[in-house]
Amino acid sequence: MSDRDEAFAEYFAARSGAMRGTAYLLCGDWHRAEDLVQTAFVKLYGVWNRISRHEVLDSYVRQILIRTFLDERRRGWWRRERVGGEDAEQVAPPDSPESRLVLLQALARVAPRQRAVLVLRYWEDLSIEDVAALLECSPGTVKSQAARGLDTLRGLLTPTYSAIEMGER
Amino acid sequence: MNEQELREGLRSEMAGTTPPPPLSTTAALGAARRTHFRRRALWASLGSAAVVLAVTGFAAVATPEGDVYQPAGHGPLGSPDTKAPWPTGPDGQPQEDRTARAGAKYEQGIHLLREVVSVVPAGFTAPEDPPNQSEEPTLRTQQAQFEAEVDGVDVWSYLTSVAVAKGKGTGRVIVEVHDAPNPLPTEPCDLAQKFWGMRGECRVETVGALRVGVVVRPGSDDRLDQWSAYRHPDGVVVFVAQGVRLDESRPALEDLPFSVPQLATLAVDERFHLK
Repeated sequence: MSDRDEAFAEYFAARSGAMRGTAYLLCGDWHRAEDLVQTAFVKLYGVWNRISRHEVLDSYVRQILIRTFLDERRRGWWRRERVGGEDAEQVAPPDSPESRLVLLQALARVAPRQRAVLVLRYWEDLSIEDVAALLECSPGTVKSQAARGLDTLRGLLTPTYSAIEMGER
Repeated sequence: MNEQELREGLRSEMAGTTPPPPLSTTAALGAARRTHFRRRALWASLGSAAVVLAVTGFAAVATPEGDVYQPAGHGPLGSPDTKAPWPTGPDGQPQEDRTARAGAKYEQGIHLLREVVSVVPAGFTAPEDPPNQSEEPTLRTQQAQFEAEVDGVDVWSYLTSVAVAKGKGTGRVIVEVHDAPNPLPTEPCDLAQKFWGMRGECRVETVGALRVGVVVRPGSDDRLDQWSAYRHPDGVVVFVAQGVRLDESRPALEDLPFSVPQLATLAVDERFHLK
């Protein structure tokens, strides 16, 4: 195995799980999340030797992940649209025993760009400026998208969300 | 809910989910290598000028200024490869991902695409992507994808999207076929409500003695306008969908290509009953 392959494999083993988690929050489906992660890492491999600062690897992969996700949604359909299985686009009914998934299912119903902002801000903990740079928009747009996304979530979750003991599980 | 509650809620709920087995490092490296070297061969064939442009174009993307980011959700570090490989392709090697890019399944997808083009009604055209365009096709697309292994049998699905144009408008017709066995519902409207996770106002249409679920009006998710669903006696499921809009870059059709009865009839059409 070449040095490049070895380094790539090591980075993939270390970071693909975390990236898959982010991708899952974006698309609400583990299979699609895996495809997004694979797309990002395939592109990363192609430019591996040209990234002189390996400390920006996470940033690069995350950027590809987000852009691929948004591009798929913009195009209106995608290979990975699935039937059956997880009904990611639907909010669980208030009395669902799967109340644990209420927030994630509600997130899946937020508009894709707002969803991306919420995931980057509150899951990845990126700053407003970093999110703006990643999405190629202004910090003001990030703030407004985050506020609208939160509003949407509140509307989707009320009143069921109040029943969830957040942070205590 | 405020920002902090959302932050905590995401962490709490993600901690409670059960993700599939870790991604295979070996498979990922293999896919990356194959894609990389295939692209290098393509670039070489396009000449050095194209290569210079590509490298220059990349530089702006590949070196973003930024700090070290640490995603909140850390996966297991150095997890063992436990994921089963994708189905074997016609070259004897595992596929790179779920999608067949050659072989019998791929050809089945191409066959379905041709059949969908053949049902575009009079008065509408089915435009094609320009030959040799560098971007992925958008007007006629197809995909055969591996879904799961059930009792030792690979189960596949096939998805085709065909742009349909009339006047200045461009919409689309989509046909998706699922092999048997599959976990999809049997009741017509339950089945129709499963398509792409979308829901809407459904009614049962009869085609001869057959019952077809048709969503005639979508709910909040309006990616498509109407779709029909039928499960053949052998378990194969066919979805036929139509939308007045292909994407945001083109004007929409004024009218859908098919009436509701026609959409129901297409769902039971033997041309889409892949075996």
